[in-house]
Formats: sequence, C-alpha cells, structure tokens
Amino acid sequence: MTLPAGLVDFLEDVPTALDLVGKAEDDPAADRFRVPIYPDDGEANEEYWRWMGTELDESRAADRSAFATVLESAEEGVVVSLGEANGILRVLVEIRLALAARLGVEVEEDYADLDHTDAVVLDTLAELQLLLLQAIGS
Amino acid sequence: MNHSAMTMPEAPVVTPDTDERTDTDLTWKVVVWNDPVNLFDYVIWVLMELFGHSKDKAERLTSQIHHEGRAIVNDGPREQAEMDCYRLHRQGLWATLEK
Repeated sequence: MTLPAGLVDFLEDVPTALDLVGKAEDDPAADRFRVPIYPDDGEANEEYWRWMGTELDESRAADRSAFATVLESAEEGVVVSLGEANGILRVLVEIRLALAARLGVEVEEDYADLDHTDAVVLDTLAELQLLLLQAIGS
Repeated sequence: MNHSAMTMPEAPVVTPDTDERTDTDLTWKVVVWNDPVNLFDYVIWVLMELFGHSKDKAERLTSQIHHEGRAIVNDGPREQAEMDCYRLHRQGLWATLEK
C-alpha cells in the first residue's frame, strides 16, 4: 500500500495528538478512552480502571510508537507483520474516536453537521482503515 | 505443653447454602454497544479475531449492534469477561459487562 505524501504528513502528527488526549480539561475524547465497563457500579468500575488503566495506556503508547516507526519508512515502502498491522488499525481507530468525540459526533446523524474539512479527514482515515483491513484479510 | 490433656474442639462443618453463589460463579455477559465511529467491517473483524466467531456469527452480532444498539458478544466468569472488555476497548469498541 502506497500512501500519498500529504496523508503521510498528516498521519505523522497522529501519535502526538493521541498522547495529548485527556491533557486538556474536559476533553471529550478522554471519556471515550475510559468507557465505564460497569455502568451501574461506580466502585467496581473504578477498581477495574485502577488495575487495567495503566496497562491499556501502555499498550496504546506502544501501538503509537510502532505506528510512528512505520511512517518513518513509509516513503520507501514498508512491510508489516499482521500484529503490526493490527496495531496500526488500533491507532487509526483511536484517532477517529478522538476526533469524532471532539467534533461532537455522538450519533451517526451528527456527521451531517460536520464542517467539510473535518468530514473529509474522518472519511479519509476510515478509507485507510478499510484498505488496511482488506490487506489483512487477503 | 501437655498434649494428652488437650482436646481440640471439633471444627464446625459449614455447608454452603446451595442458593449462594460467589461472584466468580456467575456468568458475565460482554456487551458491545453501537457507536457512530467504528466501521461495520472493522467490528466484524474484531469479533472474529478476539472471540474466534465465524464470519456469519460476527456479521449477525455486528448487525444486531448496528440495528438494536447492542449485542452480547461473549460470556464467562468475571475475570475472563473483564479481559474480554479490555481487549475490546483496546480495539476501540465500546464494551460493558452485565450479569
């Protein structure tokens, strides 16, 4: 898969952008990255995230680091393993989730209210995700 | 210490009430919820990858998520269910647990 240079430039900022999730006060993306697994039991939920939160953060950080490494070689062409491809998928999903949350997309109908540029960004990332899925599946 | 003069009281025998079940005995359901971001084909792929579901089953579950808002994608003891949720969250899906 060959990525257009402009897309690579955009993607190179993704890991840093994701590292900033939750750093700003009331970042809606932060809530999306910490879904309550026990919606009716705050105590159990807190305990779960106390144990699993760090592990999930570290996994995400590892994915972003691997993503950045892949992009460094993107212009020359790079072959990735299935595990690495899944990691790239996870990063693409994360950035789409973060962007959508910050743009106020809560239901599918909200996409119709997006600014054209924002919609193009989300759509392009979705297309890239689908291309990668197809490559993994083939 | 004179052991011959000591008799240990019998330990009480406790028979668990058969209606009592520990939390670990309960089967927890892993629920995936619809969200406006995750792609249909991606959710299918995740369900196949994480749970070994057939493509047919993964498609049915994903369709249920999309049309009904949620679907139970797996179940098991609490610890396993929590790990399932962790793996789903790692893939960006919205997952919760219920008894």
